[in-house]
Amino acid sequence: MAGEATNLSQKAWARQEPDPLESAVREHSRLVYRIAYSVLRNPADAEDATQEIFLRVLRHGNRIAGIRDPKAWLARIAWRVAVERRKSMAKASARTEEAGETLVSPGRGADRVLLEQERNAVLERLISALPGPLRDALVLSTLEEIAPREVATMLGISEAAVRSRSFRAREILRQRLLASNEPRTE
Amino acid sequence: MNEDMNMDPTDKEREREVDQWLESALSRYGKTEPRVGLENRVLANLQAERSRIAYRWRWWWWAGTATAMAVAMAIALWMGKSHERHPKSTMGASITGASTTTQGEQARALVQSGSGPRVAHPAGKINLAASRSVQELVVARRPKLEQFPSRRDLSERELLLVRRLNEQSDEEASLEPAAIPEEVDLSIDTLEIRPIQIPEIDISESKTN
Repeated sequence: MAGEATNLSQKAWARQEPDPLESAVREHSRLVYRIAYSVLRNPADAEDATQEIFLRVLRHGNRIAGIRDPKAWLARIAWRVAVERRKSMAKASARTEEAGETLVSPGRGADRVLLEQERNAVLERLISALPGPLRDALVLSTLEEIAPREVATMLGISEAAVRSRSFRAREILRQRLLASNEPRTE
Repeated sequence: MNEDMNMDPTDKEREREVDQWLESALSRYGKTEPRVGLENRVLANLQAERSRIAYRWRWWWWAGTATAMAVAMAIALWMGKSHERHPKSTMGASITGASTTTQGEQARALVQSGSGPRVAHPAGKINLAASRSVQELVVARRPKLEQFPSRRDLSERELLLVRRLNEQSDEEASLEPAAIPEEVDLSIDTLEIRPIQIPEIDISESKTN
């Protein structure tokens, strides 16, 4: 199997064809990272998961060349790998603080950056407190690159269920934000 | 609708603010950017993995080839040795040190009891050739542990043959002194050829009768 992967790559190189895996990395690595991040909520873990996902594709015979929709296929793998990692990891406390770093926009004042980080931390806490099915549907729905149909395939539910869960999750977040007097105004 | 109308304007303002913030926060939530150079890092990692796979593949190929060659050589050596050993074993040349099995004991019992081949004759008059061949047969029947398949026990026919050879050797030993021929004088005296004498017959006598 591994030899097959190497042979495929060598053949593609010999024919001066773009390596399908390399093309996939260039086109979809960002999506894969975002999916991994949406589950793991840690930049380092998300990057490790991204590396692992593409390595798995390579080790399993570089089958991406024969896949009709590589984006959806990679998204499904990314989701599975990220969920597996989340299950095997038990360090959730430090993540909410780190997550804010990647969400802030550059070129703002320090006070605004701090305020935004604080808000993001609140949002992270609230999202992680959601029930698992609602959280998964909401998190995947926030990714623009993935259509609701693909989210439904990834979660193994119908599109209507995805929409319903996402809506319910938003409602819960809204109620909790109102109850907790968050976010604070500037 | 009634609730909205009855709500405090500050509460309405607060709700609107929360909704806006939630929408913007969630839209940003899914737009997380990785550290710069993620693609290059992934590609470099893939390249390293490919060379690792190729190296492993080559290593396994060489290991497999070397193992196959070693096995082939071992088989060739084993076959050569078995060819060398085969004629020796039929002549009953080698005896293994660990021949304390029932077969060896059986052969020894045969020799000692007299029903089997006798190694030493009491009178010392033994047909040595016959005795040796019998002894060789017994020795050859002892198990050779370094050989495969192991030797079997003497069959009934083989035991009868051993007994027969033993008896034969006894008979030959007992007949040996009598078999020496005595010297007899076979010389012939001079021959004398005499003419045949025919008596005359009296015819008158024969007529009266």
